[in-house]
Amino acid sequence: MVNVDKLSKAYGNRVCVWDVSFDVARGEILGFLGPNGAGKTTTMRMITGFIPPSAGTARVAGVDVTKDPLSVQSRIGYLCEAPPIYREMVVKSYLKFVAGLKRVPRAKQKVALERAIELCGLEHVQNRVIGNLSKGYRQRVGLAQAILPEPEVLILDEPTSGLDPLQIMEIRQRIRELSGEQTVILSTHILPEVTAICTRVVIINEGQIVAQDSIDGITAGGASDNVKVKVARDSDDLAQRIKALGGIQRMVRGEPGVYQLKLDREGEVRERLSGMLVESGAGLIELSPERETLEDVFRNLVTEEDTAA
Amino acid sequence: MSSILNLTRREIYSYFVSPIAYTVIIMFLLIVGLGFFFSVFLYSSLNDTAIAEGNQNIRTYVIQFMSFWVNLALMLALPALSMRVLSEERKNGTAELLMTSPITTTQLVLGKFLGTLAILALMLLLTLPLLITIDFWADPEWPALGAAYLGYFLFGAVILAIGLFASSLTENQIVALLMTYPMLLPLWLSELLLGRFSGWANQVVGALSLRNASLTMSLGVIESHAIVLACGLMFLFLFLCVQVIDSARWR
Repeated sequence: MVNVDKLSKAYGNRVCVWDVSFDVARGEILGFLGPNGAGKTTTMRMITGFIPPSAGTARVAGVDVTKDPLSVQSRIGYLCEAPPIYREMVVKSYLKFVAGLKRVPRAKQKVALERAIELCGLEHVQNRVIGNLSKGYRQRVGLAQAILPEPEVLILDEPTSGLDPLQIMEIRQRIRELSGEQTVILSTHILPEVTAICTRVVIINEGQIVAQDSIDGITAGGASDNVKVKVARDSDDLAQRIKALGGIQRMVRGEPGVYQLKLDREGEVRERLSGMLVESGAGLIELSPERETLEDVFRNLVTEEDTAA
Repeated sequence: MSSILNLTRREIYSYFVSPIAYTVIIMFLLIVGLGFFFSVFLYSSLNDTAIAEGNQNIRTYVIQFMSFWVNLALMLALPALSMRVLSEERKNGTAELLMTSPITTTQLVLGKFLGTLAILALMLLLTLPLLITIDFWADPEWPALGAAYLGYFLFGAVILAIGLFASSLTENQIVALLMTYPMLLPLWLSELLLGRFSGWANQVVGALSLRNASLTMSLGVIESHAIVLACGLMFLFLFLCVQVIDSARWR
């Protein structure tokens, strides 16, 4: 549905986005993850045709944004970082204006309006002036604006920023409800958000993609296994012996008897470790593999990039 | 076209839910009303012989004198109306909504321009009661007045086009306001330079004088030169405005 091919953007000699490529299939929710200033907003702006790319192409439904921006823009709903609201307008009039702006046929406007208001939970504020609403409601008005024309592709730039936890949960719920019918690209620097909503994730740092995969794939990947070891009778000697085993990348000794280990995947380290532990007579209680959380993956990828740069 | 009118509607809506339109209209009417009062006062202080000798009828005296005040009021009021039109969109981030919607930049600029023109038309309409009071004791010659009002409207439209262009250049409304005058005043004052050059330079200065054009129209003369000048300036500044918005994307 959305094809981004070698997209780059430079301002002067400062490169913001470099050689970014990814595809989003119909009905997918793609999480666009990266620290602040990684180039998420710039990439999204290029997909929406707000700014032109320095190189590369972005296609929505096979149409190049720079060649036919109006055709692309009639297929997308876009919520930019700061909700694009007119503070002096009443919620309903604002949404009516957006419906006209997005060329929703007049006959369908009423239904589309009601749907957006209902989906975003704006029923009891629809006759109020936007400027008088709380930040959370303004964000919801922004979301309503994006989903109003029932676009094929929904692009949301940090849709939950600045909201309280309850509101965040609500907005996430709304976005999940949209999935299936609509393709969603969502940027965020909050990790749990991606695992909560998205089906796929693209991690970007300093303008470049550092990883992209499904959520399951990305947390399973990597060249190491995390293992948790629990023994009944801990001793300093045991710690020495584990270290001496070889193939241990990192060892953290937590409460007595509990070790967090990071092992090389190669060389049957896990097998040798279990053998040694049983032999030592320390009383092995637990040896369990631990999945890396997305947070680990993210931190590793991003810090690796940092040391390389 | 419906896209343009949708933008126009929103523009007018925003003017009237905030104090801007009311303030600007009241300021305009105060100045015009004051000018009207002065001109009627002066006219009534002339004695009958002066009127008979000087060929001074109520139109040439009151209306011509008043047109200076109308032009002055337009120059003060309209830049205050146009300064926010595009700069505010950029500052509020709503430019991102407009520019990712299926409308062209030309539609955007035209929609907004029409919105400001509607306010201008309303402002001029609200001065009609003054003219109706003239109608009570003399014939104000309505057709000639129509020409004068067309002149005011064109003059106002040029100011708004300049203001819109200034507004596209900056995020700051005050800067937009301050940039409007350096572009507007030379067109208004170029008449002062008339006769100081010779040949073509003099002709150019004369041709560009917005004040001359406006004064001619206010006498009840529909002059093609005045209309061409106004429409040309409007087109030029709106065109520049579209170019500025489009090029802002490339930065």
